[in-house]
Amino acid sequence: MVGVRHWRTADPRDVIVANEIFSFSWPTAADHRDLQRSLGRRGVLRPLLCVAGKGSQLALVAGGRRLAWAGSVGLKAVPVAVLEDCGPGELWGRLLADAQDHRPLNPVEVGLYLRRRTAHTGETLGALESEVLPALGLSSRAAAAEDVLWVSGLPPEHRHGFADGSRPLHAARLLRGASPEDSLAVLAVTHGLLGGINKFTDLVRILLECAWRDGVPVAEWVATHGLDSTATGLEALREQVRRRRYPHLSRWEEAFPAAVAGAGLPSRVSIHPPGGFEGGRYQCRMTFSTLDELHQNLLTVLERLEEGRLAPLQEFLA
Amino acid sequence: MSVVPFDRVVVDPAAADYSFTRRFLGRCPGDVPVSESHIKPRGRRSVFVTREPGSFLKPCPCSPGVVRCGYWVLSPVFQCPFQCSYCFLRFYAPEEPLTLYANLEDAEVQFRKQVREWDGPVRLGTGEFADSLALDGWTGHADWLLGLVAEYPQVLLELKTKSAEVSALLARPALPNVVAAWSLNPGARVASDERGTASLSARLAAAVSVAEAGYRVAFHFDPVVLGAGWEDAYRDLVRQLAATVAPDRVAWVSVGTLRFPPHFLERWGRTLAGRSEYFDDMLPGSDGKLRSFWPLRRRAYRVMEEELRRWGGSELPVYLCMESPEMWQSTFAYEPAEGEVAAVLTRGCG
Repeated sequence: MVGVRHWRTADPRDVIVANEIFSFSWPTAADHRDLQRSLGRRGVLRPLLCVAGKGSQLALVAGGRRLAWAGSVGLKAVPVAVLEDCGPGELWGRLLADAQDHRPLNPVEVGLYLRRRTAHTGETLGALESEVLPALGLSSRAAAAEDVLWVSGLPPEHRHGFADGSRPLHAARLLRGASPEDSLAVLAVTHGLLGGINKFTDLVRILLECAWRDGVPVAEWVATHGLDSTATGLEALREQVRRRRYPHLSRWEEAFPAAVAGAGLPSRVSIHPPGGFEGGRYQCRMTFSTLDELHQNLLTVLERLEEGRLAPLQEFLA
Repeated sequence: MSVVPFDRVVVDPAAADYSFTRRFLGRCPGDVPVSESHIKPRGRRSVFVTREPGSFLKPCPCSPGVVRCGYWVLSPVFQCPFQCSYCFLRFYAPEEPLTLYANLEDAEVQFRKQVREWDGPVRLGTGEFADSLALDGWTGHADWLLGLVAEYPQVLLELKTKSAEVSALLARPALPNVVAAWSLNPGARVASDERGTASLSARLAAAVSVAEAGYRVAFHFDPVVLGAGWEDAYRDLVRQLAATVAPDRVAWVSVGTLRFPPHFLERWGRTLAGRSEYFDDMLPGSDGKLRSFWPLRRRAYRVMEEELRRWGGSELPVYLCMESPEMWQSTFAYEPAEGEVAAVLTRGCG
């Protein structure tokens, strides 16, 4: 069935918010501010999407915040687009186009859209693979929607980070592999922590691996180890967890600089381990600006070697 | 023949007329239902007899940056009836059935063509995507393979298993270019993490019987799992082997520590919860695979090297599986040149 759109104005009091089934908006705080600023400056420019309701009334399908603002400032007329003869699939297509015309959907909104659309229309994700998922910015396979579906099913307080991008979707991939209790515990312990998304993802991974390794729930593991995320930042918390996740590596990472410092090398000579100490082959770097300086550096290193002051490095070598 | 490790057989119509299919169905127990469908069944309790549309043969993919051993793989089977905790198939292909490729005539053609292209001796195995002998009582693959390589002394066939199914080997005169190989782990580890496999003592007994029949044997300590008490457990394991098998019957021994594909623990760690030995200080290497922290692995290799040399002396061919030249240097005090490992392991072949 081909949908028809009639444009007109309507009294906000005649527009009824029938139910929430069509709502998939999950704006960030910044989105809220932008909307309020725009409405305050220009009023309601984008028409509300409606379908015919009882009598002369219209049932709202998109534009709840615009309608609420119009009511709050006492507007007598708002622009509306009335959809007629619109099948469920096409209605949802219009809703998506309308939302994307305004701003890009965030991951929570993409997930909510898919949840609500499939619940309303009975469509499977598989049926949406070829057209709808790509329109949502996902690849054209049902499994590509798993992360956004997961974040959209989180308790509201945990959705915001995924909506505003401070929590990366890759972390969702890790978290949905954990039990619901563990994933919520990770989100709780990291709640409000700010930092790079790679570091956040790494923290999620090592937290889960620590709890799995020790065979206890994440909440219990965090409590047992006395980790208090409120007293630290993300980076400090990650460092504490990392030391427990990689105890042998961490010991080496702490001991190595001390061993190098004890060697008494010139300030322009440094020794660097390979990543993760893998391979046991080290670099000794010298910076110099004259050949005399190079000569002096080499002599000093040789002296330190002969004095045995580099002996503590032996433990780290291949 | 051991307990039947499958409870249904589905034959792809495209594979129905192959002689392998007829022989396999003739060996199947009568109470296992057989149906015909081109739709692959799910799960490793099902057998799917089908055609291999591509190549049966390929070089072992190995890993970038590690010392290669020049292995080639021939795969008439995909999937394993055993359920080892650490096996990549368990995670990589959890729902794949035991897939038997019936067009062995094509495999023979590919093999003979490849043999002409190989320059010098080659080690060939069937144990990358399957256990070489676990299903042999029903597939008869070992007998077929022995017949295939008999005329090619430059091809060193390795049948690698965690089973004790060696009847096909014992039914024929031993071939000098066939090596029966066992993956070994301490008995307690076999019991806890290698479900469905033969016990350690059964594997060693099978190795003795094959060695007495004139075959050479090989052993793979892979994966060495660095859990609590690992050192005593693996030293004991080598001593058990030493008390059972004469080193002059041993073609080679490999050692490899536990390693996982990238992101393995992120994805599958939950299923290993409480098994601290599978987490360890597992770090990504230059090839992306997760391996134990360098000095922990190095210690394991040195311990194994020491015990193996005590048993087999300096002549015993020991190699590290998927390890860097630096680890070879650190363990054996030398770095093999390109192709050197393959040459040592195939010495005297052909």
